[in-house]
Amino acid sequence: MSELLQLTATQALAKLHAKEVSSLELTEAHLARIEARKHINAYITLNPEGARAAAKAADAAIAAGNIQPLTGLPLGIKDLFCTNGIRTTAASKFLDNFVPAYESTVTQKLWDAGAVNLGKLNMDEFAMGGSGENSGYGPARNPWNDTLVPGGSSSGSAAAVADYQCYAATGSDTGGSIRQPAAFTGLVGIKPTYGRCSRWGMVAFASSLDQAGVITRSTEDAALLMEIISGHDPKDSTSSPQAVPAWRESLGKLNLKGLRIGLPKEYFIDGLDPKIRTLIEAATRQFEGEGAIIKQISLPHTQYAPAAYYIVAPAEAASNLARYDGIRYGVRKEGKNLVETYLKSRTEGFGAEVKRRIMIGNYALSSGYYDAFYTKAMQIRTLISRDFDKAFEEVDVIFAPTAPTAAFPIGAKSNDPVAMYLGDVFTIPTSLAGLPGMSVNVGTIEENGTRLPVGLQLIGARWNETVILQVAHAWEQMAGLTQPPFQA
Amino acid sequence: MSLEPKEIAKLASLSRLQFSEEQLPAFASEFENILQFVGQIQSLDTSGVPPLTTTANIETSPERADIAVIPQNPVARRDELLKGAPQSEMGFFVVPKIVE
Repeated sequence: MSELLQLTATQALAKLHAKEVSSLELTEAHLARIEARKHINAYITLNPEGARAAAKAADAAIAAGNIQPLTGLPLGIKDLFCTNGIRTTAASKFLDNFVPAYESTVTQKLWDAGAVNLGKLNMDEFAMGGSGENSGYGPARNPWNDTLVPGGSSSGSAAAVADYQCYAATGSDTGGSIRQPAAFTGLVGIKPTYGRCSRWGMVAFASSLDQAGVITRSTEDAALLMEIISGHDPKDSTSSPQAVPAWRESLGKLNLKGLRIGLPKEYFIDGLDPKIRTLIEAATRQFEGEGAIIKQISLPHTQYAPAAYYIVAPAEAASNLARYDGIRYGVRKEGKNLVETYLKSRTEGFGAEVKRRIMIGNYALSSGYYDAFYTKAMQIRTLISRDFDKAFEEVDVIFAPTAPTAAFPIGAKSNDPVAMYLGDVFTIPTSLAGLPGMSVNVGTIEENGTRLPVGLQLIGARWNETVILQVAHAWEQMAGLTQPPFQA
Repeated sequence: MSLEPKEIAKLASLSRLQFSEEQLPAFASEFENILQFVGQIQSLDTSGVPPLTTTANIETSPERADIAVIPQNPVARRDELLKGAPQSEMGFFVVPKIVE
């Protein structure tokens, strides 16, 4: 069974569609794996009956020759994508009993393409966090070493894919929530250009930053799934009518000779683990050996990005989370009157980090502070975006570390919000500028006797996911596709 | 940057959140650390820089017709949506008393 679990999504689909294995077999194998590996806490809600029914339908479709791109492929879904009839909590106790009556556009596209939903994956509550520890359902654990965090906020997505509890998973990225957990678990994670995917049916955190994406075990899998979930949706006017390129077909067609790679000096700073720096530089030299041109570049406003982000994102979150009132859905804690009901429901329903961000957001939006904080942060967003525009006049792709450290122990930063925020320093600027970003495994380092994966972040110009996917794929060809260890 | 406890209490009330007497000092100190951290942006001169609210190209976004979409069976759909409500009656959300 373990050989079947260790296939990439693309390999599993080839076997499925060649009728070498059935979707029901793959689905049962994953359900058994999830059961045996419960301590990883990757899933919040399982969908065994639904998954079996979908797998049987997929097998019937394959037998009838009606094969869609993902027919029969078992996937995991981050628990902020609304799934019709399946509990969707966003890892918040506030939504402990929330069963959506509609389906998110991204997940609907996956089911239309034939995929099977194994269940809903753990995360930081409302996607606020960088470790998975802010879940109302307990932290997910890193399969490389279960005393460590898998990263966040897409903690369960990364943990499940790295632990072979699904072939691939959806994630969402507001300030690094796909890329950083992918880096911490040795996986591929891509956040496309803002507007590439519909946000309809995704539980909102910061609407001008939130984007759906995927976490996978290969770049080919990422390209395949991104092609399915991307595209304009009439239900989300911020989703773009831009044509979706044939990303999977584009892989292997990039000529590395003359490819201009930018290394931003602001990303190679004192706070970066020197062992990570060494790996990124070694990878860069390998590309240089293939004929790529390495350029030192500057993104001068990088240092202001985390502070600007931790105003913009909480401000939007404070507005988005005003909807949780305990009246129309979610858990109500009854008070003597309406206002007291709001107060009790919200105070008991939200976790500490969510409350912190609502307070920061409302502070930054309050009269007297609005210009000094919110407007100022949005001006800095302009400067950061211009930095990238200028850089992409000179280079085709930017190489950077995904995170300043490898995965850290559960509990190490949970009492220090600012230290946790600084872990996003390298992923936040891309998000503020709305650009596509990706993390691909670049090797491992030794940390207290544990071998831990490190992510190389690839940043592309607006709408140019193609180049980052091609470069990531080229790296996998050069270095060999690495996979997380399979823990029996 | 320091905040008076009553400022925090007011902000909490506007946010419809409560912090107990025991929680308040720890929260206030965390909150001040965060404000100090985000306050770094004050050191940069941004005069004349336009704010960036979104990177979506709103001007060219396709718009759908501004027409209400009526479900095929409105009553059944209503009941489906009301199923998620903590309390409902006769097709309505039930809310606690508003007028004293």
